[in-house]
Amino acid sequence: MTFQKLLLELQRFWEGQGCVLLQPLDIEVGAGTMHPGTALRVLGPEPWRTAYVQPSRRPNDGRYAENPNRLQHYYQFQVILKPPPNDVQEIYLSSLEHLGIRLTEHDIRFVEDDWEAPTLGASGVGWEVWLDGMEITQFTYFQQMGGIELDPVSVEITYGPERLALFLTGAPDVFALPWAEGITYGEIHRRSEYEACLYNFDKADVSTLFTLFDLYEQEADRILGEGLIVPGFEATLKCSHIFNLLDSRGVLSVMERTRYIKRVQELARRACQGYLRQREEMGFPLLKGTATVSAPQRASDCPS
Amino acid sequence: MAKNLLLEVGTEELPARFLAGALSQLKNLLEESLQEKSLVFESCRTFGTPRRLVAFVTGVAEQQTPLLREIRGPTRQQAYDQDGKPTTAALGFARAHGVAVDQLEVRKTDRGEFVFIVREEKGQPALQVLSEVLPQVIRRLSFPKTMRWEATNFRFGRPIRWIVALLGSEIISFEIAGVVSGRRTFGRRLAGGFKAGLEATLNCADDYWTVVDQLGIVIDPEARKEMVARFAVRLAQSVGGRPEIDEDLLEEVTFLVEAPYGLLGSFDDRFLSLPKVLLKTVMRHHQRYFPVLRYDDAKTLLPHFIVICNGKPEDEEKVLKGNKRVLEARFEDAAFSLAEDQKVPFVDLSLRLRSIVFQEGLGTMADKTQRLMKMMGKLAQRMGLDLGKAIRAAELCKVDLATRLVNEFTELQGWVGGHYARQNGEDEEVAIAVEDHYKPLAPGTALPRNRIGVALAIADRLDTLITCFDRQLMPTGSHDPLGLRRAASTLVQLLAETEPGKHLRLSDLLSDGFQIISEAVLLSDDPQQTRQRLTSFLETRLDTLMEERGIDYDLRRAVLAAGFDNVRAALLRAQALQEERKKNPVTFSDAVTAFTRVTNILFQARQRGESMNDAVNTDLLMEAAETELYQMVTQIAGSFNKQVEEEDFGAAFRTISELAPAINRFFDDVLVMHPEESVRRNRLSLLKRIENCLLQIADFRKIET
Repeated sequence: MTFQKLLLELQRFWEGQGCVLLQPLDIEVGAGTMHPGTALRVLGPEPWRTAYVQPSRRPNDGRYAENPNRLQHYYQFQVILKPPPNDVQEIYLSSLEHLGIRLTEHDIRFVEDDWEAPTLGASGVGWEVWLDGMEITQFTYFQQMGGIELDPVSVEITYGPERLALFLTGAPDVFALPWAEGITYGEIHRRSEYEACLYNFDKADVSTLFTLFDLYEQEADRILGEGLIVPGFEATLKCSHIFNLLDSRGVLSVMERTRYIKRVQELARRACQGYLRQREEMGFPLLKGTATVSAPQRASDCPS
Repeated sequence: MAKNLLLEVGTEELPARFLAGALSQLKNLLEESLQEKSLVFESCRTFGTPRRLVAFVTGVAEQQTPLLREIRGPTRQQAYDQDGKPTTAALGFARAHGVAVDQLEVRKTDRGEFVFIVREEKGQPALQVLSEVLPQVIRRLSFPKTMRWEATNFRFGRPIRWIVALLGSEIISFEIAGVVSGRRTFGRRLAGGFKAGLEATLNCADDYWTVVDQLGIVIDPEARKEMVARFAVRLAQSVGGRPEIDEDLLEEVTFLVEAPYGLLGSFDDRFLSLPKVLLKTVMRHHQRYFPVLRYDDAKTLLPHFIVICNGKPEDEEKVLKGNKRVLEARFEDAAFSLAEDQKVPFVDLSLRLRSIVFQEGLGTMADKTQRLMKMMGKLAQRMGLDLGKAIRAAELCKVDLATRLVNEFTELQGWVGGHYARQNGEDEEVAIAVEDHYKPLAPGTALPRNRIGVALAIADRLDTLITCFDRQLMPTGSHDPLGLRRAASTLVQLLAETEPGKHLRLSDLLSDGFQIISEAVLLSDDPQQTRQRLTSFLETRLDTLMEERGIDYDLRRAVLAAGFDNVRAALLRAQALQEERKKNPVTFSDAVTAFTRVTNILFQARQRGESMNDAVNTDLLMEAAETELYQMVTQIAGSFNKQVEEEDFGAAFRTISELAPAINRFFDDVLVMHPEESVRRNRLSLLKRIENCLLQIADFRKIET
């Protein structure tokens, strides 16, 4: 098993579950949740199934590539099922079998872990999934997004592909993971990981960051005001990432930090409300095309 | 024929902390509802695992107990004419209820005579009653946090996936959250390959025991707990050790698995050079493992761990390898944090407190530290502590919040502070105080080990409570995000049950606290009001503590009404009264009755505006009974005061109880409310002297005799 094979196999599996395979968002985000494929699509009544890889950045989690378990840049494999099928846990478990993990040989646990993302006004209830004591997935029933109660709720399954790959390959640390035959994760990412840490913690120009935050905030505010939801949301994500950088530069006092979070939250809230309004005005188009996004096994149940 | 009832609510994994509460609620709600519905049963027990809440009720009657139902009709005068013949009103009433008119009965009520139809209503069949009761019971279960997952937006702890509901061999049918009750149950998710998904169909409720057994599930939490403990002991023994079993972890692990199976793993020896507390915390809190100690030396940690799996895995080696890898990675993280922290001089860590907020609007942890240092200055004086050490402990106590280690392992706050303080060459007493100042972590758990630690624990809580109460952040209902209820309960416990509590008065502490805080923070509310709210909040916590210590309701009220400025004395007074009441109920009750005569008459006199003096004028004592009482009061005063001083409230109570016969004679022979004002006042003044003593123990009027 290689890292890229793992990502391919996860996509294959979820394609089989009727998921739209999206591609990563081309903007810096802290988690797959921030991709519009999750953050916006979980809103409103339209059914939706998607799966995608999302490179994620959390500047504060960097350790200058010295700690084999902590990275500021890593990957998430994100799945959204809306509404969740009754056997959603079983489907998830069969995705592990699909990767070649024989579940009967192992110890699998669902350990309580609720989830919250204050900048997005999002929260959910669920578990960490433990495989022989290792957390490999966050499994969440989304309850709220942008401060809006979700109806129906969505299930969000977020795999940690590095951890799964460590488990499957037995590699001693993340940098030794084979990415493809003959080349490791470290050979691809180690140097950039180190440089990014240096930038995030020590070199990023603080006054530029402050300026950028303000500019993106103004831009988000302006375009959301003009009813352009996705561009407005993307500018919000920019703010979020710049805030993270300011945070890792250690220049925000606690009070300021809270205020910055609130500023991002407010923009996210407006984007979510705007999105919901927009979809409603469009007559929730995916409600009609339910069959195109529902699981194939469901579709085959229907008389032809 | 009575039958047995089985209810199994199958869920996705309920959080371990939800289960004990859910099971006791299930039992209570079910019993209550069956009684309410007059459905007789023998016994009701509940069981559960993370994936099922189970109730088993034996001997359920086939029908409700017949009900005598009385339907009131018109008055007698309306129903019968003068000849006693039924009127049209009576005929109509009878017809409307489908009975013959001669079946009407006349009965007397508070409002006169009426005709009645008395009917024995045959009970509904149990199956029908239960199909209403069971879904109601499930709906009424409450959880610390609930969620939605399906189209009806039903709320529960976690999604419900199946329901078995059988009375004997029949299905009790209902639907809840889109799930229809039936007779199919499911086994452990992974047993025998998940796709095979073990399931079983029950013919009748009694089958359940065999079926869960075959499915390999241990539904009785008590039995599971025993199994877990046995695994731990046996596995530890195999390497010459014994497991360190803490009750909370044992409970949690019991509720994380359906079929416990223990494995013994080991980790690399080199991690043993890390602090033991750190290793144990990682094992316990992060991985839910039991640490292993050397059998003959509980201070030595062995490089092993015990993991309890959910069922026996087919490949134990693989499972152990995975767990070992995770554990060692966690140890690496901890070692990394520890090494990084140690690169930063201790002094610089304390500078970082300036960027850690305490509460929004209440400054940073550096500000809080400043306040704690001042408070410790005051407490050092009041408690006779070494001033330098007391202030130093306050200065250092929050420093560990700026460390990587505490950021990674929050539960180690305090311990990390003590550890780094020691490494920084601080005085041992100071280090212990820093380490201990979060204790007791919960009411009834370990207290700080030294006096400075107690003082610091008090100062910390006082600061939190005053500042948060000032900002109106009081807990409401079960919502207490800042843990203020716990802060208050543990503050009360620190004051009531440690030696330093002897020297402290709540009013002084609050005055010191408000003064120090108002110098540093802009108070947002009227301090007098905040102080009142906080005092009554603390009173409630003290009442709870007394209740937990087995003090009767009336004694608690009596003691609290007489004041609790010295919290420790208040608890001792209550305990003494409880003890006296238990030892000698009759004497106790007699004394209380006599005391109440004293306090009642004084109460009335005050209401009538009578005045009284502190001193008694012996020249005005006329009757023998009052002279006798006066002499006795004077006689006992010395020993009473001494006993109170020594906090021997049992003895003080017995001493003052000696007055009881004299008090009774006084009231029998002497007219207190003498027409002559000076005599009257003198008599009241004598009683007031007794009352002054009594109030040092309790307000005896509140005690039931």
